[in-house]
Amino acid sequence: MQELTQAEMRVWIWEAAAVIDKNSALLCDLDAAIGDGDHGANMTRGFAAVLKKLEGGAVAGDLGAFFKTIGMTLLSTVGGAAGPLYGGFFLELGKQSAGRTSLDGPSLAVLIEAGLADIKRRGKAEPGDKTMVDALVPAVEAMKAAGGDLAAVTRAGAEAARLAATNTAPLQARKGRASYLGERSIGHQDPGANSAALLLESLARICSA
Amino acid sequence: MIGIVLVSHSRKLALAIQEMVLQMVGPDFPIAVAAGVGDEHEELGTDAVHISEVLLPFCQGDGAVVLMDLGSAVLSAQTALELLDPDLVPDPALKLRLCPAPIVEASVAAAVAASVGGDLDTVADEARVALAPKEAQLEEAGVSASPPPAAEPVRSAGDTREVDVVVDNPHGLHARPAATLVQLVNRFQSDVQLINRSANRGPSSARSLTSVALLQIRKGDEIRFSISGEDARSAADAIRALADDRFGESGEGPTPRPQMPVRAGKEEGGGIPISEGIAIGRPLALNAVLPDFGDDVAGTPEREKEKLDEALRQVAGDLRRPDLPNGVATEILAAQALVLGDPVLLAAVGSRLAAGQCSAAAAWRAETEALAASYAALEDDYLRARAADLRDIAARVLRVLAGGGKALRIQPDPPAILLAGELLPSEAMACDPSRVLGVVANAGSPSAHAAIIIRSLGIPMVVDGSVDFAAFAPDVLLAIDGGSGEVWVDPDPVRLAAIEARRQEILAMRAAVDSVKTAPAVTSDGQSIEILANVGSADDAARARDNGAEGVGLLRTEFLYLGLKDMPDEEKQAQSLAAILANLGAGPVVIRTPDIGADKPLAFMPTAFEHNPFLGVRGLRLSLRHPDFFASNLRAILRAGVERDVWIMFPMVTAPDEMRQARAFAEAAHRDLEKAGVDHRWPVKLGMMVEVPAAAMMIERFAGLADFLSIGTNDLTQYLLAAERGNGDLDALQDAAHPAVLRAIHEICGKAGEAGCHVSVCGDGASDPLVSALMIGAGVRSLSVRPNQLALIKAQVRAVSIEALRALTRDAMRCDSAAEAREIAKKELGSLSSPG
Repeated sequence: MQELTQAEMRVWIWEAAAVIDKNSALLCDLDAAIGDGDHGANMTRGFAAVLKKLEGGAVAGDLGAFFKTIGMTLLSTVGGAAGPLYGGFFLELGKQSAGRTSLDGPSLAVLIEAGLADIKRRGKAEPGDKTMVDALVPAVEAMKAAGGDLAAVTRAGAEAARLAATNTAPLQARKGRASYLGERSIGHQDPGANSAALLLESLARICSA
Repeated sequence: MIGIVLVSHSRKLALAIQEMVLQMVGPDFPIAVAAGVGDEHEELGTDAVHISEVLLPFCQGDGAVVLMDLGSAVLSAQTALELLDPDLVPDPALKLRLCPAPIVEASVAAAVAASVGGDLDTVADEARVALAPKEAQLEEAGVSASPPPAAEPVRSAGDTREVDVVVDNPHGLHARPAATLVQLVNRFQSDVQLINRSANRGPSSARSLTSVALLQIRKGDEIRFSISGEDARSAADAIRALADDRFGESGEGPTPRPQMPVRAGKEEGGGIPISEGIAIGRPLALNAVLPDFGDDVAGTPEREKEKLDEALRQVAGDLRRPDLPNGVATEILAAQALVLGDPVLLAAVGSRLAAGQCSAAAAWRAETEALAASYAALEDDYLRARAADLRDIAARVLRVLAGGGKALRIQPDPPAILLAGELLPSEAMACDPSRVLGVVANAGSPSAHAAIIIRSLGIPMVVDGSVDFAAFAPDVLLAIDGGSGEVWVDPDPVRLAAIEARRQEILAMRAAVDSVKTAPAVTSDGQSIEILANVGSADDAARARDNGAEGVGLLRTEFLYLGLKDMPDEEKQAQSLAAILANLGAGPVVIRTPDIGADKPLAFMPTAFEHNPFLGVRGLRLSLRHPDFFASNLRAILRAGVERDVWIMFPMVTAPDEMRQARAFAEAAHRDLEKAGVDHRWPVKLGMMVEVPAAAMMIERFAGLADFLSIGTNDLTQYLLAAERGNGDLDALQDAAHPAVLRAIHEICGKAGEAGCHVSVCGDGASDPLVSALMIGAGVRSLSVRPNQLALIKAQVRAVSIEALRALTRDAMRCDSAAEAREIAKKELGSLSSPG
């Protein structure tokens, strides 16, 4: 695959929604250990709403409009902190891809980097805070390093994100509900980092197909 | 006004906070909820898009403080700001503040600050420090723990006043009374500092809810307000008045005494017609007739104090015996009773007395009048209305002090037309009809108790708010027409002659009417109408007999119980009833079991507080809940009526099953008496009042259960039109001539006729010639009227034909309003019956 258009992106969202649904209980369990146990349910609800939104057919316009639709839907349906964070992430993707109808590997990496910046700004989180940022920072670095091929870029991103998500376990949470737990948050993986990894893994699968 | 937006994961939580805030600052306060997630916002979570939509109108208005609960609520609120359309909201920071304060405490603090006109920063500041009182309370750290906002005393020019108060509120100055205080203080320019002297906290600004809360004022605490500024005096008066009202908690949600509407007359001009008849004479201010409460020192300060205490006790006793017929009464009385026990007032009166040179009456009058004046000067409607209560209660006490408790008599010599601000029931009762020619009051309503009494005395009365008594020269000649509401001041000779002619005409008509007293009430086309009397006392009974009543359609029994501390035994009840029956002429007597309830509570039968006593446990509902009392009522009636054609009627019947139970009670009463070998009447007819719309609509379901029906038009009208009796604002609705009432009566008569059931009308409508004509047209063949209307109603019956009345009522039932129905009835009856 050379380029991602809205058609592929729709498949990605469809895949992501299915993966999140399948892993909903896992995400909830991870969240229950260090938070309020609703991350899986929230994400499932949000992506189900996005699917519903996209059911009607392609979003008119460029990729900017497409991402904006996803972002707004996540904002108003996820419910937890992941709503504004992922919602804001997709809104930023929308802003950065305004006027474009397709993405190649490098431009996808740049786009995700911009989305990550929005998450960091909004959540005021830095690497090491035990958040989704911990998965996304190494993922973006790997994507940028992977070069031109879309499949290679996304696979690098997904692998880095998965590894980083696993590596959130020894960290002590400093943001969100989990930060209330202090040292007790150590030993559990961060649910947000995991959902980020799931999103990137599903994207990689689409691009490798 | 700055608003509040509540952002919460839980919609229920936010709605509950919203409710609490609205309860505190009033229902119009702009507080919005942006909470929950999902289609109905019923799931836990926050929705940035929704929050943004809720925020938008506040951005386009005065702005809002945004209060959030946990975690993602903050993130979502921040995101919501970014979602606002920059074209509509160029700079959200100008209109919105996300405030990190705890949501519950901050909501209350911010709402109070906003409700008194605080700007965005002030409101946000109030919210931000809202946790301080709780912290201080838990740490017992005192005020210094967190500096209250906006508390710097501002020394301004003008007066300085101090107001000392001992807080009497059960929970101290908790949030609600504190909020009331802060709102009041913010109406004034003056700086108001408050000190909790008992706890040695303060001074703090009374403008801030938070700083007031920080003072942790509890019941019994002595607090001092220091007020300085241009309007210190009026601020001090207002604070004093509010404190005397226990910071608005004097009676858990009392509605203020309704301000009687002053409005243009229904007729050609002038005032509201209250009681028919024409009076011509010199005016006399009611105040001048009321006992003169001299300022002479009658004894030592101790003796005067004793006299006052005795008077207060007596009046307090009177107040526990409410004699007013509507729900407003209990609230008025509760408010008045509070004044009697008001510690601040009593202390002030006490110190006046202790100083000597002052009679109990003078001290009481001076202090109550000062208090009433400060109420009356306030801008707040509620507090202003309290002035009338205060003056009324003050007058009651003065009357007792002056007359040693003897009943008040109003007997002007020479006879005169009384001028009153508002005639009180006790004053109406005191009027001597041979000396009081008429009454003009500035305020009042035809359905007020005083009006009913004045009508029963046959004294003409008009309510006209525009009459300025103070402007009258002492020798002015006044003429009033209680039928039209007109008032003439110094009428010219031609006008006066016309009025006098009209007066003679009315007198002649009354005389003519009197002459038909003993004649049968038969229409010109041969239909005879039964004319019965409503009786509530031995005097009424005698008047009913003298005025030619064919029987009693309603004998009220409430008087047997009202005002008694202990439940009268069966023997006592039977004796009192027998005394009334002895005064009656021939004919059946319908005795109604007690129609009491929360609006007319009995001392020996405590009832739970009801928000709307008229829709509460009253009449038969109450009787069925007190089986012993009810059984004794029924046995007393059966015993007293042994020699008479006594019928028993149950009030406020709603369901057939209630009638079944009531019948069972009556039968049990009969069996008990029989077993005990006591003489009594049996069998008797058992019937019901039709006043609840449900009963009226399904009256055929009562066939076989009720031997007779009596329509209570007053209550039926109030319930059908959802217009409370005694609410002067709703007079136009409280009229039995309303087409809806006529239709109900027509329906009831039709169905009862099929079942062969006797129907009478005993409500006030039957005593109104126009309405009684419409009722006859609707099918009523028996009317029970006030004793002094007997002859008039009878004369009218004799002058009309059933045929014409049927047509008239048919038209009236098609009208849109009572006024319209009255209009056509008036026209029609004018041509049907020639006066005299």
